[in-house]
Amino acid sequence: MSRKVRRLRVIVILIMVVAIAGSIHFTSRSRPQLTTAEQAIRDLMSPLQTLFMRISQTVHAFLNSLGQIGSLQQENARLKAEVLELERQLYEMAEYKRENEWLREALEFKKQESYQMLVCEVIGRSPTNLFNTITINRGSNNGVTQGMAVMSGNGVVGTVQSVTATTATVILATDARSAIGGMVQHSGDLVLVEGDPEYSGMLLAKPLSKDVQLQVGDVMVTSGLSQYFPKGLPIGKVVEIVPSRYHLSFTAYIQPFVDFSRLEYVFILLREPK
Amino acid sequence: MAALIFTVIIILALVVQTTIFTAWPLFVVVPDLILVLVVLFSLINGPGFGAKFGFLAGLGLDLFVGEMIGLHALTKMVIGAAVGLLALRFYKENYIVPLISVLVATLADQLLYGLGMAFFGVAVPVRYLLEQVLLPLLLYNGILSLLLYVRLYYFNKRVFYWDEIFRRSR
Repeated sequence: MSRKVRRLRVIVILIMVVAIAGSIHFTSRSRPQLTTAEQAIRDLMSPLQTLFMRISQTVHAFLNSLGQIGSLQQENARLKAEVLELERQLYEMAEYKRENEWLREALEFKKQESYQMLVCEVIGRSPTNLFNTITINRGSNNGVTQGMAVMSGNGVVGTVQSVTATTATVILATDARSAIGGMVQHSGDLVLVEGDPEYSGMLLAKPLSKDVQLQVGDVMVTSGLSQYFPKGLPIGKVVEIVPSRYHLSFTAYIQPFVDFSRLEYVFILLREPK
Repeated sequence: MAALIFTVIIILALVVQTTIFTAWPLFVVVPDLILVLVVLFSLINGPGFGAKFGFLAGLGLDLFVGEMIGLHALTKMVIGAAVGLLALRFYKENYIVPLISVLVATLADQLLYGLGMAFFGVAVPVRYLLEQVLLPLLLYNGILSLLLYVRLYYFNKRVFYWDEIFRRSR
């Protein structure tokens, strides 16, 4: 190999190393938008991911149902009774809602934002064990933008981290980088709900003032202080309270209401135009 | 043509890793199919191929993850080249060498990625990785290597055979 070729090779390798280091550094913090390459690869892969995910879930559901045939009848009867009870609660809630709206109007309270629910299918999950994210089959074509709230039937799932034309990546509430404004339901005290940095599957609640009172069993809901999460969405239940070193503050462990390992469909809360 | 086939393999592996491997509760952690493929193809084809395949597969993984793009490309490239170099010294027509290579590469990959994260100022969940991820990951990757090695060995042979025929016919 001539000297010139060897020198050229060294220069190319150096440029590559600098480019990769720059790329790692640039993408190691939160970004407002994905690069074109990322958007293209995610949009191209989404039909394949949808197909594979559906096959996988169908096979899993079939195998599961085989083992559960005996208990299905019993479960059906229990669910029927539960539906009746929930219907009764729904009528009661509708009555409270009407009353609440009337009272708010009478007190001239600011009208609450109304949201539209966009149903999304989960088509993929993070391919590594270090990040808790899911990919859904709705993107900017459907009005999804970064930061939007994501829910399941049981409670808060997370926030939209990045968007392509046909997909979006959702950072789950259990991810160490997630932070959601929370509130103790019974007292209205404000906390910050974060994912556990050690990925225990729990959420951590950190008080935003020293007067916050918490007890094991307290329910945590969203505070509604962010522009994307409406007030009162269920997050989880306090299972343990760990005081700080000098007992000046504490961290509460929250068991989320959502089973993050079994997400098939989620909702994105789209703000309705005023 | 061989390049095209190996690109399709990377894409399919990425799709399987983000869907089937993550959707089944059977898996406590996500098996690293990409790493297993990098190690096995590097064993079969040597360091040059290993480095290129590792870089491309790692880059694909990075683009999917969307965090620290280039770090998987770099770690997988180093692992591909290292395994390829070691393969020149070992008799690899058995199950032991691929199995041990995949297990050692899994440890090396976790270590290199963790060091990369720390170098770029991202917190590394060391306790979580050691207590919850490492053992199941070693087990899954080991099983995958045993299931795939012989199949990939013959598949690889056939790919290069077709590639040769394709080249001559042009």
